[in-house]
Amino acid sequence: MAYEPVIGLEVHVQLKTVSKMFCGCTTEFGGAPNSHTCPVCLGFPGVLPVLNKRALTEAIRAALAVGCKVSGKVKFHRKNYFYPDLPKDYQISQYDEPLSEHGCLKIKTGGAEKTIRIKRVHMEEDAGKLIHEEGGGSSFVDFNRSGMPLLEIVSEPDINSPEEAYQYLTDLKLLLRYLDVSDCDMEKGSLRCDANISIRKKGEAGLGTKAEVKNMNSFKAVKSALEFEFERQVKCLEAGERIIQETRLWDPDKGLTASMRSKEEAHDYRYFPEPDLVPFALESGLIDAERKNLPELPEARKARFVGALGLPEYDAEVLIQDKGTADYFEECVKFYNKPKTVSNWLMGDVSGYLNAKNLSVRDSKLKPPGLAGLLKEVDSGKISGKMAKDIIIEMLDTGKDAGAIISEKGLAQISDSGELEKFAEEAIAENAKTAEDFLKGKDNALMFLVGQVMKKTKGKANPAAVNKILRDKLSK
Amino acid sequence: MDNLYSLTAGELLGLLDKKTIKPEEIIESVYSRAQSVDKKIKGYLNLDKEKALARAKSLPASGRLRGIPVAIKDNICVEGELTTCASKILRGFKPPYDATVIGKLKSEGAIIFGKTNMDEFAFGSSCENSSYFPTLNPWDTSRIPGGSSGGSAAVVSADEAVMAIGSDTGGSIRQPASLCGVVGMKPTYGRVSRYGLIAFASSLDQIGPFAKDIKDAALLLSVIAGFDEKDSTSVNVPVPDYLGCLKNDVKGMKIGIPKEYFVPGMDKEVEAAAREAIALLKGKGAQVVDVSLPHTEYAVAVYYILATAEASSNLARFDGVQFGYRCEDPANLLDMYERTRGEGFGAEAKRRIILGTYVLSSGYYDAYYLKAQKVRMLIKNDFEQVFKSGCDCILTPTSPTPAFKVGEKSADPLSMYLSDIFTISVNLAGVPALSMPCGFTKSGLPIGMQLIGNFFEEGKLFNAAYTYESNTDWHKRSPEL
Amino acid sequence: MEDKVRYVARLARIKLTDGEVGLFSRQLDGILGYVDKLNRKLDIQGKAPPMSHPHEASNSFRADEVKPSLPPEKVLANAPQKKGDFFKVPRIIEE
Repeated sequence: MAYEPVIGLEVHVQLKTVSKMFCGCTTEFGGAPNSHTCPVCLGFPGVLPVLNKRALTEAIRAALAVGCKVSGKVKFHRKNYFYPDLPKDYQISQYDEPLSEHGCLKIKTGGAEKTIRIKRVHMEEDAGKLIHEEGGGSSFVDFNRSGMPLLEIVSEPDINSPEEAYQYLTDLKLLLRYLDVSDCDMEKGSLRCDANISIRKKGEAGLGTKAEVKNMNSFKAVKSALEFEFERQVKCLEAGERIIQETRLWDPDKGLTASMRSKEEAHDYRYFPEPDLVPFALESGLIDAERKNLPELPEARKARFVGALGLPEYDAEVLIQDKGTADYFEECVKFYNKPKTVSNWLMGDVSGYLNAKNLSVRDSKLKPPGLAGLLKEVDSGKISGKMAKDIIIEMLDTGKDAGAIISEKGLAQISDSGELEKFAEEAIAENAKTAEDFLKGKDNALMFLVGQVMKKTKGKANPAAVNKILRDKLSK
Repeated sequence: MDNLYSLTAGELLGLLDKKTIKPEEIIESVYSRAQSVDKKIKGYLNLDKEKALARAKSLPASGRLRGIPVAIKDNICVEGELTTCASKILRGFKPPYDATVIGKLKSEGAIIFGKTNMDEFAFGSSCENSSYFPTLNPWDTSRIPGGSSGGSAAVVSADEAVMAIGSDTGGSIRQPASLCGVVGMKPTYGRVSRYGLIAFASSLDQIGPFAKDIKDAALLLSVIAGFDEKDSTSVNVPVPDYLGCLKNDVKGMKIGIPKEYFVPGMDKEVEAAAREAIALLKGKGAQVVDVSLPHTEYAVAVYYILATAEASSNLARFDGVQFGYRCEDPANLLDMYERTRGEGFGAEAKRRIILGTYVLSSGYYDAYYLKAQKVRMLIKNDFEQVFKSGCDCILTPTSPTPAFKVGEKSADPLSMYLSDIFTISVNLAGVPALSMPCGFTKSGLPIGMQLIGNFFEEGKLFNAAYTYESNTDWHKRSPEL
Repeated sequence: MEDKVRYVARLARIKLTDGEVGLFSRQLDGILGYVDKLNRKLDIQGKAPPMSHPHEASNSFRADEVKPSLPPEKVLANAPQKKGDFFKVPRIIEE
């Protein structure tokens, strides 16, 4: 009997603001415990929240980018539950009237395109962080993260394999980074993902009992956890057991999910409208303005790279994977209008260098005009492609421009025929036998002579020019 | 002068202006008055003479309340000063910041003068729910002063403070003002910043003034009112010149008398006093019309659903983690939460948290909370209809009875809740209202009347109230202590 | 009613004595009986939308600007228990 998993993902991303959602504390990562806190994000008696406008506009941008319909009204609810990392013992979130609903994300899986529907995108505040004493009787609370602006993106259960889940997360992250609304850095907690998974027989439409899987710290962990959980549920059903609706935690060391608690208290969050924040209508035109301001999104950009710039699919796909790289590429093309050549260099030598040094293209000392300058030198014949490969390393190291490096090191190719003729004659004289071989029809012999000239010029001769001069001389 | 404590802020500011007296003398006088009478009244929780004197010596060069001591209800945060909501769960709590109203008072030269007693977390109408001690009515110390701002009302009434600040969620300023024979106002919702007011019910709470006369009330409101960027629920409407509204003239003013507030069985003396006040204003040229607020009978029910629901959430933060009381030797986290809150909250706080949690809990939300929200809209519509019909204000008694005896209603929460029957609708609608003295019972207890206005029309209330006050002398009487 | 009171007290994290459970159950019965007049006496079908606030549709925002945080000594000054710069709480055991 073949089963398939039915997966829905809940993704939380931290919006990229400089101050928190409802107070002026910094959102900077790190800092001494509780050093980024104030009466508001500590939930002190008497304080009130005031919404960060940028958090709202970023949330709207993200919602629009995943094709959601953005509601004209903003209304917050309180979600009530007690936990020490939640300073007010309620979380300001959204409930029956979320910021936006009914979007979708197109993902590519196994060559085919698939649409994953997005149920809702809404805003909420983050909680603090709890640190548990090793084997001890206490926990410690740090509220630096309390009140960070979060966006919750909830998919419909349209995902049918761990690979699709992985792809969905990858594409969502790419999209959000294009929008520049979040760093989406799982290590810093600016992207978190929980999964709901159930299984059913292939071809059936109903939904089985789902388990919620948490504690996955990377996209790979999501994939592994879902693979494990799928297998577990299949075994469970095949053994004639029932799936229990529960929360399970992924244990990356053991490579399995385990039930979080057997007697979980019934959730009764007592949602009600947040009375400290007045429900309000978005100013007219705000949604349209944000829609107009959306940057070109990854799919559109890829299509343009292929269509307008003539890049192969593969190159376009690689380049758009990082917005900085794609921007850099376009900048280069402005100065040097051979897109495929630029793409070759970026995907080859440049990315090789940067990857080895763990740098992003933005941080690189090689700027687009510099790369363009180098490629022009190659085109002009002043240097060879092989020389360029050495020069570019120096440019990446030092940020100097190509011309300076060429003249500093005397690297310019010798194309002057007078000088080259002199070396050619010497080479023929010194290798009379080889010259004869060539005349007898051995083409290889010519390559040897070219090599000799290159040696004499310490590699600076233009090989094409040498080739021509040698042919001319020998055939006389 | 040895009777400075008995003067109004307006009178004291006149003397200060003429340099007849110094701010320190006011502090000395009011403090020694408090020293002699607060043993009987118990209106203050904290009163630090040295701090007040130090403030009096370092006042800003100018300010509308320069040198005037103002008592503060214990649910309003003053930086570095004990602020406990008269609750055990906040014993020892010193806020790291000033409420916006405190900042405004300080910058206008007012001297923050003591914290006043209240029902714990403003839950009550008698001041008996303080975790410290009950405050007593200066006119009869066997009776309650009203609540929840009973301390603020009592200290102004007993001349232990020149003016005071309170908060009003369902009548907590107006009812004690009425029962203690002073002026108290609940401004329009959003008129005064709530930042730093420890919330009871966020959509109903407003901070407002207590004073010995209408002029002082207008002055104090003009200092504390205004939009605050720290409070999203404060409204960005300019603050008018309230002192300029103090005209002894109500000609052409249309005053509505809601039939639902004059019902068979109500206290005869209270009804008679209100009727006489109506007659007086009519005699001064006001047009008096009968109006109806048909959903009045539902107000108490709506209020006790919405207010307790909000309170149950607002009071969740008192959990023993960041501040306040924590039980001893908790076995684990759950034990800490349950014992801290079980031991730290008084009976009425627990009762309201239980009720509020219940009405929000799964399966009951629609029947209680959602329904109450809908009826709240109907109650607001009632007021809007009356004002749309041309009324400038509405006149009612403030409280159905004069001050009741200590202990009289404490065993029956519902009868206590019903003592707010005339004040609660105003909070639900969000409109402004003031209470002012309008007579005394034969046994010498003060009676108050309530003037209710349209949104942001506090000025009209001051106008009508000033006219009434100018033609009566109830406000000049003082309790014998 | 007593079961409901116990359930709600647990949600609200308040420990009640058996005496309190009994008292609150009786009092809550009375209060709920009273507020139930909203359901018994009033038919408001379609007559009014729910009102969560006196002034809907007016909102103020903060600009996204960093303001100074509280100095650490003030953050922890009121803490019942702390360790270093942390608030300290008892261990969290799932029951």
